[in-house]
Amino acid sequence: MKKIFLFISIVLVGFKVFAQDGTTLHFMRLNPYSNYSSPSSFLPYNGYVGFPAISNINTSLANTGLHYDNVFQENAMGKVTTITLDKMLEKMPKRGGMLNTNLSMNVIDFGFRTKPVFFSFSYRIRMDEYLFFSKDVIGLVAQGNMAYVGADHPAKLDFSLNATVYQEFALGMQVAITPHVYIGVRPKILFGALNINTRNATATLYTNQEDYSLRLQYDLDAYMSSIFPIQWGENSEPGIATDDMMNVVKSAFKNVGAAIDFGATFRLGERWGVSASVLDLGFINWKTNSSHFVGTIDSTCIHYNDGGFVFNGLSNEDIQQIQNNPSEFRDEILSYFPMQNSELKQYTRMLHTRFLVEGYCNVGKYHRFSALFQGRLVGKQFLPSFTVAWNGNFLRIFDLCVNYTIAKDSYANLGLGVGFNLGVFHIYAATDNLLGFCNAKSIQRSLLNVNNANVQLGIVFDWGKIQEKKLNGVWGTKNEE
Amino acid sequence: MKKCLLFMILSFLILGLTSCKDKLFDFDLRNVEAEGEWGIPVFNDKITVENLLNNLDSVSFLHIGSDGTISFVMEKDISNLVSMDKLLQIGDKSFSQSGSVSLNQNKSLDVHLPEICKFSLNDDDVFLKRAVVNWGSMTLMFSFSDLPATYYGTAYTDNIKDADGNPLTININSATTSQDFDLAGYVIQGDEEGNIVFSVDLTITPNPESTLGGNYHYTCVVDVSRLGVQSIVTMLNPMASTIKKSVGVNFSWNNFHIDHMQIYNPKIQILAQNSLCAISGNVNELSFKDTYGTTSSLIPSSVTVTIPVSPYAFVQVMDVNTPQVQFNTTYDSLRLVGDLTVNPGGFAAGDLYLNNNSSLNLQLKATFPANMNIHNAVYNNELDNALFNAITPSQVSEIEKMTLRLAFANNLPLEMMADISFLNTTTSDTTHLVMSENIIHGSFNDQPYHETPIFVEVNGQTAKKIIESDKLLLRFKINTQGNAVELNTSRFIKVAIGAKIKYDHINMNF
Repeated sequence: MKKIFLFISIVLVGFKVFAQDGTTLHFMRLNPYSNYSSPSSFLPYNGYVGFPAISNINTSLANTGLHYDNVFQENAMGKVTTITLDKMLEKMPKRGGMLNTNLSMNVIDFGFRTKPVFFSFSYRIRMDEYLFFSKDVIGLVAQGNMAYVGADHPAKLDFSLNATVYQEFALGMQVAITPHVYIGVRPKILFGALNINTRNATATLYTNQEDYSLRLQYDLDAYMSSIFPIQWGENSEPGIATDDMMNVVKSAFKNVGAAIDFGATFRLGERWGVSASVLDLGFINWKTNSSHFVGTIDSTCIHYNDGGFVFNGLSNEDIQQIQNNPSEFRDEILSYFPMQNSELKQYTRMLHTRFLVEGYCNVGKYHRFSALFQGRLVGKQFLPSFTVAWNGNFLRIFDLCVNYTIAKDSYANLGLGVGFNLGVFHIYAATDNLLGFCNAKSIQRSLLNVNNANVQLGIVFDWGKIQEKKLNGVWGTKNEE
Repeated sequence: MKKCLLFMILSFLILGLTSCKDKLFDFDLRNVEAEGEWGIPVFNDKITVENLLNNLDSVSFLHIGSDGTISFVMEKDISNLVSMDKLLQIGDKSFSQSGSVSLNQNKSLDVHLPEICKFSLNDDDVFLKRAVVNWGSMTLMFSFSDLPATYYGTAYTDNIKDADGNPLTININSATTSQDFDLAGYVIQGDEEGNIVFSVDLTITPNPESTLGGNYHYTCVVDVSRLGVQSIVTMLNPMASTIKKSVGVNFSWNNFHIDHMQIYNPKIQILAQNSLCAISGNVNELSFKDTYGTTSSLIPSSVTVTIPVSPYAFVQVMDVNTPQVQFNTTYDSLRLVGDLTVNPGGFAAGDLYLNNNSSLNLQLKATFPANMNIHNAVYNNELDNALFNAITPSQVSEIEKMTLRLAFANNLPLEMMADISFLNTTTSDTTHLVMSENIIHGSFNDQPYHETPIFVEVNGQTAKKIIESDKLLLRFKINTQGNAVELNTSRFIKVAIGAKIKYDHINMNF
């Protein structure tokens, strides 16, 4: 049971406010994968090949609102004895909570240079999930409905879930079109595996201060598609039909999409430079097992009034029914909230597009200071963050980055990245929030108590170290060899 | 050196990620820290007059006019009010007749003896003209006192015939003096004077060495055993009959008790289905009665009734309007007392045809308008404490304060007093929210009167008792204080109960 909790927590609790594909790696100039968040950035190699499956593993977790120590209280024996709803509510941001997880794993990737273009290819598995919920969801449970009385102060129970799992085949090109302007582009073909997308999942509960009568307005509009055949249980709970797994393989390439990353870097002299990128601008057309769910309140039910479900109290007849046939009463209440599930031929959803703007300053031969503003569109929400970073390259072997990021509801994010390049062997690890691993008791506890936790690591083989100035004959520090 | 540094860093990372033993999600949940307050509408329902009256049992039923006016119509049947057994049964009778015959012969001869026995089944009140026998028998005994001869022959009568019209014939002889005969299926039809006449034809053979000479005496005895007849045609003198009949009634309502009340202007009717003959008489008493001896008369005085022959349909024979009737839900019987005269026209009324299906059936119909003066009527409704029952006992102790809100909207044209309470059937502990001194005002127009809501604040201990109760009791006491009120089905009283529960933490019962 504990393992299940742990798993669910790590999967759901995860998720980031800002980290996305790993901000720290973006600043590590010796790492071939820094190019992923800035397609136009210079790669100082003639080629690289990622170690299959472990060349670039990136997982990010973000959790604003449901920190373990805010939710649970332990006794001296370490047993969780109390759920601290009051504390959880107090610590939760006004705008509500977000649980986000992001996983990216390179299966195969490689790159090579043919002057003046650097080509790269990657095949990645990616998962992207965002769950937003309003603060009133916790507030209603913790404080009761009398904290939300009156027509102008309802409890707004809003949810939003956007989750996508897909395969990505990308072909990247980076080129210096002038000594001062680099551009990069990475077109991608995508094959979706799973999508859950709620356009609307809101419930608004009004409580009448005078007689405590309740009025619930509810609206659900959601889409789902999966290469796994989904079957619905008696209570409309989803499950996977395991007897038809051959279709999974056939369906793996049916949800086709396309996307593009592109960017440009402008070098302003030897020290300064700016860059801008757009990542994951694209879509997936979902076709396999696509469903559209619409949940409303049955307008013919006796409790329906002006678009809402109104409960004024149990009637004599209700009580008799509860006494004589409680299951029938329950079914009747559930029937007031019908869920219509219609199969769709297809539907299209955009990816969570990311925008980056960066300025940097090189100091001496080893050091670079950067400032990065980035944001991601998730449905109707824009999630911005701002990062300042220092990157030091020592002897072109040791790649170190320290950065600080501020984002929505997350202010203490100290990032650290370390990379070693020993010949062709290149190993690296980076995190956007070092504090996420610094809890006195354990790393697991730490991960469950920070707004943001992120790890990106891998092993890659690269060769042919090259300096920018040698490549284009224009730019390079004096000490570069 | 580089490899050594790399090894150290990797080792540090692996150890850091795997060596910490920190038990997470190790649950032994006891409580939830949450300081909150929930407001719940517990009960909300309209108790209409129609709902209330639909609890009446089958002996009475509700009649609702198109304008919503209410009346109760009670119908009770009384079957076979007058017994016809006396006419459809003929008791044991014995008739004897003697005679003599002059015989002078020394050889066989045939003799006809007319009217050897002549008798009548009638009495002073009944002149039987025709009867179809259903069951019963007759014994005929014929003998000579000192006749020196043997004989045989038949006794017969034209007044008793079988279904084919053949006269009853009985074989007689000198060896057997008594003959039994089953009369079932025979038709008895007397002569003009109502008599049944037997005659005998004999063949007499003197005994050897004997000579017949002189008068010989004979005796004929007819014994009629008790006869049952299917039908009769008869003339009948007026026949008096006293009737005393009681039929059960049941006014017990599931949730309603009335000490007593006056119902104004009830209408009492008697309908009759009569396949006997004309009947007249008096209904001296028609009243409700209970086991305590309390009675209430539905008619103000004795009523004369004339009941015509109407074998196929009920016709009204009495229609009385009574100014007022006392009514009590404890009444359990309806009593009818009267004296009747069957066929008051007597023989002059002519022949009557009666059979064993002939009967006098009455239908009593009482229509009570809902125009009444009620004394201490109490409506009780016991409901499951359904919503509170969702709270587990372990959580109850954490309730800091509970406020119950009671709201009444009364559309009935009468004041009433409310008593709302919670009952724990296990401990018989009752917690009253409001007592009977809380008056709910009546409405004298179409709009319900909304009482100002009553807020009852209870502490944690009382809240615990309420939540642990399994029944919610609604009790309303009605007293019109001598005033007549007229009820309409659309009238109602609305009760709304809400609860506001404040807690500072919640016990978990994992």
